[in-house]
Formats: sequence, structure tokens, C-alpha cells
Amino acid sequence: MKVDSILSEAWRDISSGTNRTILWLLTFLFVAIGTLGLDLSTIFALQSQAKTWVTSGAAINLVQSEGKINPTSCMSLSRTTISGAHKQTSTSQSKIPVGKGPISASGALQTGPSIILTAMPSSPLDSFNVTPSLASVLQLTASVESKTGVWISSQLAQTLHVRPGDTLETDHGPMSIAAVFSWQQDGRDQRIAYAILNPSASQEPFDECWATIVPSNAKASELLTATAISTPGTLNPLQIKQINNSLGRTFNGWEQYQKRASKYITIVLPFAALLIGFISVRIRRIEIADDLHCGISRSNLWAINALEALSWSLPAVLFSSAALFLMVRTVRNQSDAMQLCSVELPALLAALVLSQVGIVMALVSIKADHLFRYFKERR
Amino acid sequence: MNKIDVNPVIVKESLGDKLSKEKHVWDEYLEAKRDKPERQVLAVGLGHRFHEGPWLFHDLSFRLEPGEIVGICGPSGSGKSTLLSLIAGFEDPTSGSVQRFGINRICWVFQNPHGMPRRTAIDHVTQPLLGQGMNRVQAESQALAIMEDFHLIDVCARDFKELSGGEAQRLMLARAVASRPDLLLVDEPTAQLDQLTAADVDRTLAGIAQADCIVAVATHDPNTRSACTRVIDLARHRNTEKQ
Repeated sequence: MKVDSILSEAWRDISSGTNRTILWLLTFLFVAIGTLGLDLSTIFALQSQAKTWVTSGAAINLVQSEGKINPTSCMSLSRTTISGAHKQTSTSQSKIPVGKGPISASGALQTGPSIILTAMPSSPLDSFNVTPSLASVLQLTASVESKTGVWISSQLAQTLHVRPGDTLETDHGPMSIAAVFSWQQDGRDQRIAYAILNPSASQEPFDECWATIVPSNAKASELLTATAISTPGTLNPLQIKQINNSLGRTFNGWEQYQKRASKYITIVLPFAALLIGFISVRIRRIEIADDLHCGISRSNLWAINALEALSWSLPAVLFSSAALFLMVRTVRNQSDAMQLCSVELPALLAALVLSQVGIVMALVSIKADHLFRYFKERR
Repeated sequence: MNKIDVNPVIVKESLGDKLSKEKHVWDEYLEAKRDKPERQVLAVGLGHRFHEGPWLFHDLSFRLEPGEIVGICGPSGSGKSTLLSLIAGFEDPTSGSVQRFGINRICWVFQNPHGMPRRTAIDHVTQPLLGQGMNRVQAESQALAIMEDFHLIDVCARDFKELSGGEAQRLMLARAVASRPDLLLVDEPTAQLDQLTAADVDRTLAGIAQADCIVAVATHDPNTRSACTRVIDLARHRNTEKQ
């Protein structure tokens, strides 16, 4: 056949509905959105778990050694890189800035004097001196570090009916509120929930070093112990604790992502495309066997059927990609929708290729000599 | 012998002139091939049965040559379709042999027309011609010439699913003829048709004898039998016990 004849024959089969383009396209779409959507849902769940891990304070590790924490060492932890550690790649879920290593923020605390509010003389509040870098640990914006004033939790702010910019009258004089940080009652250490945090540039030893470590990394956690000032002759190993251990000791989102079971469900799509390609040709075996008898060569039939398969497989891949993108972008409001959808791209491309393999397999299986048998089976 | 140009240059002209020219080309092609009966089917002592069942027929010997329409006749269940499949080589006989000489392309027309429902009638006849390397314009012109022989000009633009039983059956015959087969097998062409429509098909059948093609028609219809130039009667070769 001439090339234009092949093209026109394929077009006539597509436009007349002979090759059932719409049916196969919808079937492909159904399987694609079902399987790939399931995988994306699993990824969303992992992202939610990672976000919860961070926002719940479970990612904040701390060491305590009264008067023996070097604040400079503690603050510099966030600039430390560790070989083999994965860095946090998405910033869309939290305000934590991306660090070079798993320790994305760190800061030191020192127990301070009780503070009596003029408005609440019978309920003194705890206070802590903190390094300005602790703002990142508490998920405050970086600009807070340059502001003058104290930090209080949202719970305390609500109790006192104050907000940033207001002034607290205390027995230590007026204290301007520079920032309010979120500190939920979700199983985390509540010591700073009803306390006043006073940023301090002091270089004197502090009592605690806090560090946000995402993802969980044992080596990074151990670095916290290096912030303690060692005293010769004392053997007092520091214990690494979590601000919130209700979600478990560790969370490795990357490992869970790599090992997610839904990854294997995406394999269904390419094989479904192969099956669709095979069936789409095989159900026309009488017609194709008759074409062979009429002198149309197998290579011509392959070319015609390959073009017809593209008429549903290529739009199906494009529509699936668009549907998944819109689903992620609209339903979940993900600004990194493109990156997320690209995870499913290999399955879609493999489906495109395997649909053609299915076509070839079906054509090979159809023999001109079997026309009589195909017809008898049809009866 | 003059060289036959089967791909004539098509110029703008009336449909009648166009059909007349294409038919002339077609007839010239047939004329050139008539003196070369290089192909035949030779059956010697042919017999067949399924598994250990009764013999459908046995000791059947015949030769099929181009230019004639051989009717394979017998009552229902006598093995007519089976004999066609043995002639085509789709199945192996239980006894005897079938040899085909010069047979490269076999076309089979079933009793139930099995076209492409959503493709037009002319597409069915054009397809084999496209497969022979013609462009669409040439192929459609020749297809129209063939369809005129089969009284299908009026329905050439209709979808296959809109054709009557008789039109569909004639279309399958036209498609087979356009394929220029070496061996054309027609299985009960009128079995599913009413008397009037069957008569129409029988009249068409008489005209499908091809100079270069062997035509065998399986039928139990006496009118179809009459349209054949020669008859192989399976009833004479059928016994419950093979002798």
C-alpha cells in the first residue's frame, strides 16, 4: 500500500468508529487514573505524615545538660552536612527553610527566672533565654530574629488576649511581644507553652540544644551531644530526646516513599495498555484475516493498526497526565504538582509503548489460514 | 500479447464514461489471462471425518481449473464447507490428498456477510485494490467498475450495516473479485437470503467466473447449483461406512 493509503485507511477506521477509539481511550483513562491516582494518594499521605511529623514537633530532638551547652556549637548544627543524608526537597508544606543537611534548624535554651505578669500576679510564668536561631526551630519567620522582644506561644497569647506588637507589664519591666509561635497540645513537651522566651545573644553556656532533623537521622541526632561542653573526669552520656515522641522515634519519608506498595500498582497500567492493544486488534480477527486473504500485507496491517492505536493511546496518556495534574493542583492545592505528576510519567510512557506491543502480538496471533475457524467460532 | 496497464490515467469525465473505461481495462486484464490456466487444484481419493465419527465423504477425486464455477452440492451436513476448507488447505483431510498448483491467494466468502459495519460499501472493494499498490483515486475507480458488475453502484456510499442481506452478500463477492484471488471459495451464498434476494445473488454468481481464478461454490440451493458450470455432488460420495 502507498503511505497515503495507509494513512487514509487508518483515518477511515478511526473516524467511522471501526477501531472503537473512544472505548479504548476511556478504558485506558479509567485504569490510568485509578492506578496512578492511588499511587499519588499514597504519596499525598506520606507527605501529610511528613508534614505532621514536622509540625507536631516530633522532628525536634534535644539534649539537656544544665549549664553545659555551647550555644555557638548548637547554632552551627544547622550548617552541618552529613554524607548519605537526604535533604528535605519540598518547602511547600512548612516554613522550615531547606538546609544542606538533615538538620534544618537549631537553637539553644537556658532556664530563666520566673516572671510575674502585672495582670496575673498569682500565676508566675516560666521564662527561657533562647538563641535567636531557635526561631527557625519554632517555625517562626527569619525576620523575627532581628526583632526586639519576647516570644510567647499562641496558647498564652490567647489566654492573655495579646498579639505581636503588644506589651506585657511584668515585674521585670515591660516586655514587647515580638512573635507568637504555634505550640499545640498534641503530646509535645509543654514547658514553653506557658512561658516567655527571651532571645539572647549571650555566649555563656546554655542548658539545652534543640535541633529540627528531617528526615530522621541517627548520625544527625548524635551531633547534638557534641554541643555539650565536656568536663574532664565525668562520664555522663547525654540522652537525646524528642519534643514529641507520640508519633514514634523515627520517620523516614524517603524510605517509605521508596518502599510504598502502591508503586507496584502502577505496573498495572502498562500491562493494561498491552492488553487493550491486544484485544483491540484481536476482536477484529475475522476482518484482519480476511484482509490478509485479500492481499493486504502484514506490514501494511501493522502500520494501519499502529496508527489506530495511537489514536487512543496518545490522547489517553495526555488526558491522564492532565487529569492527574489537575487533581493534584486543584484538589490538594499542591504547588509542586508538576514534580508529583512526573513520578507517574514512566508508567504512562511505558503504557504508550506496550499498547503498540499488544498490537503486534495480536497481529502475529492472527493467521490467514484460521479465517474459517474464526468464522465458525463467531457463529 | 499486449501489456495490460491496470493503472490507467483517470481524467475528469462522466461517471458512465469512467465506469465504461475501467470495465474495459478490467475485461482486457481478464482476456490476457484466459489462455494461461497455470493453476489448478487436484484432489485424489479425498475423504474426511471428524475424530472417530462417520465419514462425511470419501473416495472423492476432482480437478478444479480457472474459468469455471464448480458447485459443491449436497444436503445440509454433508461436509460442503469442510470440503472447501480442505481445498483451501485450512484443514488436512483424513484420507487422500489435495494439491494446489499456482495458488498464492485464497479468498473465502461466507454465508453470513462479515463486512466492517461502519465502513462504506465502496471501501470494502477499494481496500484490496489499495493493497495492490493503487492510489485511492485509481482504486475507487476500479472498485466502481467491479461494483457495477454486481449491481451495487446505487449503494456504494452506504455503510455496510445499512445494506440488505443480498447487497451485503454481493458486496463480499465483489470484494473477493477485487482481491484477484487464485482460488475463490463461496460458502452457501444464498443460505441466509429470501428467494428473491437469493435469485439476485445467483444471477451475480454466474458472472464471477474469472479467467485466472478457480471458483468453488458450496450450496444446497438448486438455483445456485444451476448457476454453476459444473457440480461435485457429495451425496454420491457419502456412506456411513467407507468402502
